[in-house]
Amino acid sequence: MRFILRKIAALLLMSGILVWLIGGARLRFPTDQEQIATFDPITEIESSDWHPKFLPGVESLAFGGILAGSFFLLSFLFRANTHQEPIQ
Amino acid sequence: MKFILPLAIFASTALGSSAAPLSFDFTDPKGVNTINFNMDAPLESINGNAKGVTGRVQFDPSFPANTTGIIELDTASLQVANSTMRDHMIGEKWMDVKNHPDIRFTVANLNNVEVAGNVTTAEVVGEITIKGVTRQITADATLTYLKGKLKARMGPRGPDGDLLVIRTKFVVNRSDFGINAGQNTDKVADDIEISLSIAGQSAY
Repeated sequence: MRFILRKIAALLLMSGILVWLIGGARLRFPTDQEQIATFDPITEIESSDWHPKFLPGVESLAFGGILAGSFFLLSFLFRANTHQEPIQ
Repeated sequence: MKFILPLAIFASTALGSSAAPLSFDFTDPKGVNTINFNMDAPLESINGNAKGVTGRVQFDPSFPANTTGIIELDTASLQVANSTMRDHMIGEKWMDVKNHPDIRFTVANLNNVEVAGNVTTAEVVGEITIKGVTRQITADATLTYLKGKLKARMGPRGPDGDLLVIRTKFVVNRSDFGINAGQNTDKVADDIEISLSIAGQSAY
């Protein structure tokens, strides 16, 4: 059981890091809209439009870390598998 | 008869020099006009924009110093990347959009005017009203007069006319305008950097 919980903890930590990296490794809060730049060639005004898109922030990293830590700590409630082969 | 020609030349010159300034409408049918804002606080940098720009500016290409006008911004058009943050921003505590539906820039006159071709650089003197509080403001601005470019922008079925592009940047303090003054300064900076890039049209 201890081993399984630690495996889950590692998976959660990796998931948090992965989500954060895929989202652009942004050191900011999550956003649900993305700015797409536009350009008007006549006036030469650079503008932007908003489009719905979820971009995870640093909280996904923290959330993954906290969950992984919780599972890791939980694993100490279970005994380590000390089963040994009987000596012949 | 010999007086008619000089008289006509004089009349046309006099009329030309005292021609009425062109009135540019800044309600942009192409939706390009944008006012950007940026707040850089120790814990968070917030940037966003607003597109609800309307207003009129009177601009005389021969006398750019006499430029006057009003640009208004629909406060409800303020937008940031996080919708929860936007809800907070337009709420009663911050921008109070229900009671203060617009932000107004009034251009009184231009100082230190320099003209190079169709580009006028100047110091804009005017007022800005946010949440019912009006403050004097001075900002460097660039005005680009694009004569006869309206059709090119609006397409072949568009009207003939001129365009005026105004670009400026300035900083206001939210505490000066009662925008949740003195609160959450670690996440929401007191200085709000505002930049405008807006185009107005004057159809013939």
